[in-house]
Amino acid sequence: MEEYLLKVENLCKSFVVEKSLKKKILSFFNKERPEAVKALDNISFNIKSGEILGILGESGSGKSTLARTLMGIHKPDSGSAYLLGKNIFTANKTEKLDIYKNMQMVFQDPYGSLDPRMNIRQILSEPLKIHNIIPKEGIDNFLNKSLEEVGLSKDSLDKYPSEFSGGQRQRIGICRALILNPKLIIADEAVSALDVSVQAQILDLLVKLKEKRGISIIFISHDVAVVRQISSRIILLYHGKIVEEIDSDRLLSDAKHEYSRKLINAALTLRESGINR
Amino acid sequence: MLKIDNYSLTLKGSNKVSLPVLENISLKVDKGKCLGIAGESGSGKSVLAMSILGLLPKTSIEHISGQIYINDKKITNASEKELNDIRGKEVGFIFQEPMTAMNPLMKLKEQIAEVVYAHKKEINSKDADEAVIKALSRAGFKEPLKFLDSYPHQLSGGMRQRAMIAMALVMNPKLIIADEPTTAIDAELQTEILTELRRQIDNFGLSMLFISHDLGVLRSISDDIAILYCGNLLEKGPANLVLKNPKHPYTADLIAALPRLTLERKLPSPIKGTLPSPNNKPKGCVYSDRCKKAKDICFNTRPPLKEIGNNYFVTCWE
Ligand SMILES: Nc1ncnc2c1ncn2[C@@H]1O[C@H](COP(=O)(O)OP(=O)(O)OP(=O)(O)O)[C@@H](O)[C@H]1O
Ligand SMILES: Nc1ncnc2c1ncn2[C@@H]1O[C@H](COP(=O)(O)OP(=O)(O)OP(=O)(O)O)[C@@H](O)[C@H]1O
Ligand SMILES: [Mg+2]
Ligand SMILES: [Mg+2]
Repeated sequence: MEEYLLKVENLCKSFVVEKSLKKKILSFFNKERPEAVKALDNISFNIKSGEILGILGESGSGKSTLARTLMGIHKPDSGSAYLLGKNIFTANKTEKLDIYKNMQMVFQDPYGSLDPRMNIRQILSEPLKIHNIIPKEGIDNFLNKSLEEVGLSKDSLDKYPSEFSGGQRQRIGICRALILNPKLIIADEAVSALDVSVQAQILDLLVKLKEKRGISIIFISHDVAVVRQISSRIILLYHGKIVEEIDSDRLLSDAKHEYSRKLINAALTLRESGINR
Repeated sequence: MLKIDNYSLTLKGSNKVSLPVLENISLKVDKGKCLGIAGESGSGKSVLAMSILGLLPKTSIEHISGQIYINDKKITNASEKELNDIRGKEVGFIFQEPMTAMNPLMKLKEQIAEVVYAHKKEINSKDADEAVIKALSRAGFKEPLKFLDSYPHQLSGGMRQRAMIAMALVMNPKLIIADEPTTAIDAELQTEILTELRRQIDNFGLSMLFISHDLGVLRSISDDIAILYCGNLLEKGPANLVLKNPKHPYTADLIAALPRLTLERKLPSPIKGTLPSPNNKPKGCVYSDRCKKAKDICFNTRPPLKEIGNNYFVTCWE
């Protein structure tokens, strides 16, 4: 048994900054190197089974890039990541299938992440098809049970995404991520677009899932209050670097890095006292 | 600057059902003031914002009553040409979903310059570029020059939202309608953007309608707050009073659902049940089926909008 569910070591990823043709030619003649954004700069961390790890950082700090690189959407420049001891980036096709069965992502946008032409049955059974899984109790029984677990009613299977509210769509996204019974879920701004009451429902759901199924969650958000409530440990990202790692209980009182303090104080102002006018 | 007078809107749903999405809404935004609107998803906030600019597709409207005025001009029966002149120039609009409002094939610079060219055909490209860069800085872009040639998918979520804000600011409009403009932005940047918008309100007489479900954000930017639920106005009054001592149980429940940063670490309390659909509203008060304080009368009769103080209104039997 591995000690950590996921272990990330020295992960780096940069993007070349887009330039107009004229600037490209100019910089070629001036022998400038292409300008790059270091979205992830030597990131190392790990997460245990049944843990909710929060990732906090300002806009553009590299949070989504981290999620997308772990999910194989971006290729890393260097570094490694192990899920249950298997290197995600060097795995072959069949190994990858197994890795991503255990690691699923919930996206920010409840509107754009579900195909509007597919009904809920099709959306939810797609991962089962990819992994050649046939539930013994029959597809519909299985899917209905899963829908119930995320608080959606049984008559949902024949409906289309447009017939659901934002919060319900986010539940469908979570349900799809849970279908294969993964050990880890990466949630990138999964509640930011939702109104506060639905947000509270989804946070409640995620905590219950952790308790019932023992899954781990990497919870990414720019909202200090939300991350502090849901996770037990928090990593702060700044310009692609980890600047602080701290227990949530100690975040407000003990966070040391200048940037962490700035983020916390801004959040305190906005949530608790209001900006000076 | 903006006046909404007893406005009701019914949309056509699928299978010919009528959807009364707004009922008897009266609101106004004075020059140099900001009105915040809060309410759950589906309560009608965006539909109201779209109505102000005549952006709802004519084919989906079943019935409209009441009036909307911008600067004493009736919007409710303005022609498409009149509306086009107003949009972008007199009234800036920040859309809720940046990804659907931005053209994926256009660079950041071009997206914003397009607004400038639409209203100032004679402007030269240098002046247009300057206006774009200035708008981006005002919208909280730290290094605007670096991202001018980026396509939307190359920007982070928060950068796309700031691009939308820049688009609304670029023509220096007198009124801005902002629909959830800062949901994807961290607190520090939000504070900066809100401070900048507030400065424009106080110093240059900008007027603003600011939609958000985050009551903390609304407290920071608005003078008055209106709480919308199920297409109905439940509470409307000065921001500090509404937030400190809410008179409607729904407003109190919304405040309790906000994740807090108080010392004790505790999950916020969700509101039980779900928002009824517009064609299936409760007979009495629209919130009666979820309200912890509902009495008999609440289930049977709609409460009227009551004035309970200077510029303070509540729709509740309590
Ligand atoms: N596909 C891409 N091509 C080029 N640059 C990119 C790409 N994706 C991200 N970037 C850049 O990488 C940096 C980090 O972006 P990322 O989306 O990871 O930020 P984030 O922390 O998720 O921010 P937000 O809170 O605003 O969503 C940004 O400077 C962004 O412009
Ligand atoms: N074009 C349309 N045709 C029919 N019904 C619509 C249309 N647009 C919106 N609605 C309905 O009008 C009601 C109000 O929707 P609206 O988008 O204004 O909510 P909102 O308060 O902005 O919610 P959110 O916080 O999720 O953005 C909802 O019941 C919605 O389903
Ligand atoms: Mg992001
Ligand atoms: Mg909306």
